Amino acid sequence: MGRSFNAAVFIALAGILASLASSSPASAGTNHAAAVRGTVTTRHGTSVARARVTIYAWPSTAAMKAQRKGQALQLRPVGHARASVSGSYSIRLAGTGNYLVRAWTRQATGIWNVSGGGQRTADVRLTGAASPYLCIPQETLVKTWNPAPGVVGTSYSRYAGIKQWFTYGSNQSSSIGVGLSSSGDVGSFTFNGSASYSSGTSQTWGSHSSPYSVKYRTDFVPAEYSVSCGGGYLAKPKEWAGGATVDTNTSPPNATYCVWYDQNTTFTKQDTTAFTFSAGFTTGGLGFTGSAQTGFDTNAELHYDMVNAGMNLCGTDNYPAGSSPGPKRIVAGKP
Amino acid sequence: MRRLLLTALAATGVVLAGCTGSAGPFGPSFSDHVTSCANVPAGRNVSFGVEYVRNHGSQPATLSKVTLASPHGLDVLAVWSAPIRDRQLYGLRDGWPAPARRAGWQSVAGATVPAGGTRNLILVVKPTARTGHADGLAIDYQESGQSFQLAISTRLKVRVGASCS
Repeated sequence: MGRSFNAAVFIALAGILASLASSSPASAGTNHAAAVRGTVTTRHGTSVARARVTIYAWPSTAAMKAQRKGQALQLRPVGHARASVSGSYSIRLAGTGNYLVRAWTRQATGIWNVSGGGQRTADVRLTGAASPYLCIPQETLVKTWNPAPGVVGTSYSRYAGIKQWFTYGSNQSSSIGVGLSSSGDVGSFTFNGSASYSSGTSQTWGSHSSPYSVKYRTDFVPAEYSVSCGGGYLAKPKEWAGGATVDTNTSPPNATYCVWYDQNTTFTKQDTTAFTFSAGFTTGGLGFTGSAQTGFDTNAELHYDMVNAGMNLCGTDNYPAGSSPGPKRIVAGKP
Repeated sequence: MRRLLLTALAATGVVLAGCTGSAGPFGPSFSDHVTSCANVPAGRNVSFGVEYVRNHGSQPATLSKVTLASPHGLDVLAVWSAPIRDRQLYGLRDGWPAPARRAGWQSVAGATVPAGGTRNLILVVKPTARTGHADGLAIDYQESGQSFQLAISTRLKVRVGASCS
């Protein structure tokens, strides 16, 4: 035990030291294309100067799928920085995947979950108890529940005459909100970043005639993890479980940026990253509902087919072909 | 090795010197990840007006030309710049725009986009193959004596007598 612990500490230290070469002080790290940046604060929101921040990679998807109840897996350090006097930090991080950001002072610890690639923000509140600095977090699977649906896409229509459908491509990523609790008690979980999950195969839901609005759902396995080193308890899906269901109990949002499509035309939009479903996934056993967002790539497609009538397609935030901002939600039919 | 490094640095410098690196007042080029497809009877044209430009600058901009990017089996017959009213773009429609609809429209060459203004771009295209397609629009314009090009990756497909689905 002592030998293996020493070896683990050595490996972690080596990882941290190696990452120092690629990490940056807050003042110099603002130009990196792919990075995690944020601010360290107290539980009341006051910035904390000079906190130590380390980023750990969660175990691989395969390892987490195979993980049994009660089994602990170690997280791997991949980057480190010291926050500025104003509490801000920036750490270069080129890879995609799921990461745990841990901020540390002698008095308290805090964590935040980030996923995906590119620019990521992780504002960490020091809500956890004091713990040793050279502590390598382990996550332990506490419990899982039966697969539950998460919303990965929507289409909306107000009038009859068209068909609509959604495709969730192979290896499509969805980001699901993560909950954190210091006690693990039901109802005590609060939002703590996100984790991404990749579909192994493509998923289709079939076409739906208008004038219905549709939420497209696929299943994830809800789970609870404990995280050592002052981490607490996390409500976080264990894996994507597949399956395709719909929920038509939804109404179109107010969408006023419109473009006309004649009968016998189609509209296809890939890359549906633009909208986050605030109540996208619920871990019922823990009383936590998190957000859900689909699409880090262009593998998710939304289709409208004007098969029997011409119709306006209207975006909530911009025209359906607009950019910066994108249309977010698209509705067939002008209000 | 050192000579190789110096050569590489010099080459990099030449490349960087040739780039302006800044977007014009219409903003940077982008992809909207949209494909618009029209199924038309043989002999019919298509009006393609799903895109618009916004002049973020403080001076008026003047459109020079708008062309299809990488067109195949499509000829452009006309291009207009149209004011946008009530947040409504012209869209994807069968045939030529009716004259009554074209109030306030300008042929794109020389059309002005006022500072802070928006204009819908409408192209009339004629399919010359059973399936025609293009990868986007290239929009050339000038502002304060400088020339710019905005590229919008938005796919257009036109199928003659065949479904788009």
